[in-house]
Amino acid sequence: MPGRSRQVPPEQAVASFDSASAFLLALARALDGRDFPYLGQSWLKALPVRASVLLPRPLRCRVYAIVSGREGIAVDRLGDIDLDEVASWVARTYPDRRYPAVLVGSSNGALTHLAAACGVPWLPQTLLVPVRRRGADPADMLAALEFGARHGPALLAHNPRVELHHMQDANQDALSGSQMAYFRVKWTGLPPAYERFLDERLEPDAPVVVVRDTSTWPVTHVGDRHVFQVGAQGGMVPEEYLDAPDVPAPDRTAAEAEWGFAEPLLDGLREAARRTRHPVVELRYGHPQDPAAAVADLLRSWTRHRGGPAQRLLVSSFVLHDPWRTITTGSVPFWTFFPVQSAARALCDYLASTSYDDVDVMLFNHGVESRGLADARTWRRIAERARRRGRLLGVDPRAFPADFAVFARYTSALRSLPDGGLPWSPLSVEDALAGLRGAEKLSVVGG
Amino acid sequence: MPEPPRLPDEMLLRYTDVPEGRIRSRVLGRPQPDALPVVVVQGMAVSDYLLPACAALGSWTEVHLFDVPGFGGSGQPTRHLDVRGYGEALVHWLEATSLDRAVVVGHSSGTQVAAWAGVLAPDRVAAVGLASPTIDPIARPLPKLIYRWRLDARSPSPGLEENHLPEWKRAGIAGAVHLVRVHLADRIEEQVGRLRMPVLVIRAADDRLTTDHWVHELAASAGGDLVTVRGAHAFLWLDPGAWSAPLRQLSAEAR
Repeated sequence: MPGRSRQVPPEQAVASFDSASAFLLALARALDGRDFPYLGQSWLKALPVRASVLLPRPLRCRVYAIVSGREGIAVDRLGDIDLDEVASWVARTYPDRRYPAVLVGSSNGALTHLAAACGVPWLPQTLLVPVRRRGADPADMLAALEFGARHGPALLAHNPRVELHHMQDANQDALSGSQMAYFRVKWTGLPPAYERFLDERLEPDAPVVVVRDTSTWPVTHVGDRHVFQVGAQGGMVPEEYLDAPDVPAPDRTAAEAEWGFAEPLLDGLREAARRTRHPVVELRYGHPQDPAAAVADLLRSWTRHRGGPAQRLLVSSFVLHDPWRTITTGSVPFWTFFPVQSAARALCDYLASTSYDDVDVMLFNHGVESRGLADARTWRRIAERARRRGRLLGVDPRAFPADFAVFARYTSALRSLPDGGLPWSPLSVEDALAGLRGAEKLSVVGG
Repeated sequence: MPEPPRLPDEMLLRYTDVPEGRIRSRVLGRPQPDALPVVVVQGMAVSDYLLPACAALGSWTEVHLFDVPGFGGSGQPTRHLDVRGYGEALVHWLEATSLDRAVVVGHSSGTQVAAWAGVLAPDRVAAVGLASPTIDPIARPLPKLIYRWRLDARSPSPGLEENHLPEWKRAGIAGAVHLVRVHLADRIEEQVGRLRMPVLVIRAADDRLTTDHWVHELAASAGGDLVTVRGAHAFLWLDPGAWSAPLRQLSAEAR
């Protein structure tokens, strides 16, 4: 069939550097008892990343922009993407067995750590389709909107079950935004592969846990199932983005492109859960940073229950995380959604409420001194609240936020942490949900 | 010419489900009031060759021969298992079979699993025995390991490879490659140095896979004893009783 042969392979249709795919790959590896080296890339690819430290900073940033842009799909291939096939690839990524629960919905690094501890998979609602757009001016919102209006319909026409949240963030994605457009797609109807997953890959009565990040963003309606979002969760609030000149006026509010949960999926999910006889539980919170403290507390008590001292706080940063290594080293994870001031404040608040002997902080690097960024000194100062040793792990503070070698270096840094000497037995889903009930900034509904 | 040993006539076959997969264990001997049970961890992909040596231990205690997931008679693993993972499977199996305190003994690559079990479950593992431990730096990397393994195999061990054959077939090439990879990636020295229970290292005088110096250091790092016996790496095949007295003493020490 000619149409079939043109189809974009599912694993190439979505960005590997994105939060959703990184959490998916890291979690799938954790469920198979493996760590997550080099952000899921081969060690051969890690060599030039490490060597990037030798380049002068402007050149290093340029190379980063071009390399991240290379992942982009050509606009004439957008009609060849079958997102139902992508959902099948997601389901296939997890080890083939039955699970005691499944998370479905918003991306969240803290909940990825939790899912790994429970030994349960997560099916993302949102994925990023990177679209090649070389030489673009990331600050030109009108051109970006026009680009999306021209090319979005091809993707949507072949994928009736998704809505497109085209996101343009000149603050934090200034480098990769010069090479590609961020087409974030959200399933509003349950893809068949997810429904089959509920049917065939869950133990009887296993709960379907809907992860609902209720964060929203003002957007501009572009077309049917298509909105345009200026800016993103991070160092700035929507108003700051919208104050810039020549920004398309927003005319509605929608689920935030990367993290927010789009409500229409809920009905299909509830119906499929009812049909397959699985109870539905909802985890609700208002910002991607919100679950981190509750998850850290929960996993600290789990680690203690396993016989460990739980005295190392391992701070993961955006996609820079390793759920399995966190477990085997007996560390407690505190995930930060981006290395920005609000996340630094959340970590600060957490460390004011409890203390650790060791605090190791990893930092994601996106190449630019974006507004709202917390600098390396700030992070180090927070880490130094540790009773014994606080430090930045695997990151060169002088090169932050353009220390791209950290994407390779974090692997050896994590491997150098001593093994916790604790056998792994999954945290029961029941205990996990019970532990989250009553936690601040998070509510557990149902179950 | 030495003779192959006689395989035991009777044993109890047991299957136990743990999170890492279905474990086959074979039980010889009987529980004795004055001795801790002994758990023996199979060598690389093979376990039948240890039956005569387990029978020898069975004269004074209850012995469990443990097959790691994916090899011997155990089921397929439920996840990717490295040596730590095999150690976890062993710990979960100790819990599932209610062996509250046992002497855990490995032979060859099984020593790496036994050492991990001691690290992961210091309450249950009363003592650790390491017979022909692996992998001495002298046998790294892979080409040297293969060379030394074949060098060691020159010592006459009639019937040993024939005994291994069905288990090698079960492991397959992929299984063997996996085992070699994960055992090479693991460093037993790191685990042994953390053991807080009595440790005994047994070295065969003609073992070409290890050196006196390394084995001595290994024992010393855990404050353990070193016993030298006659034979090559798989000394237990021709002399199944060789480890019985030293392990009995280890068991007595741990009680």
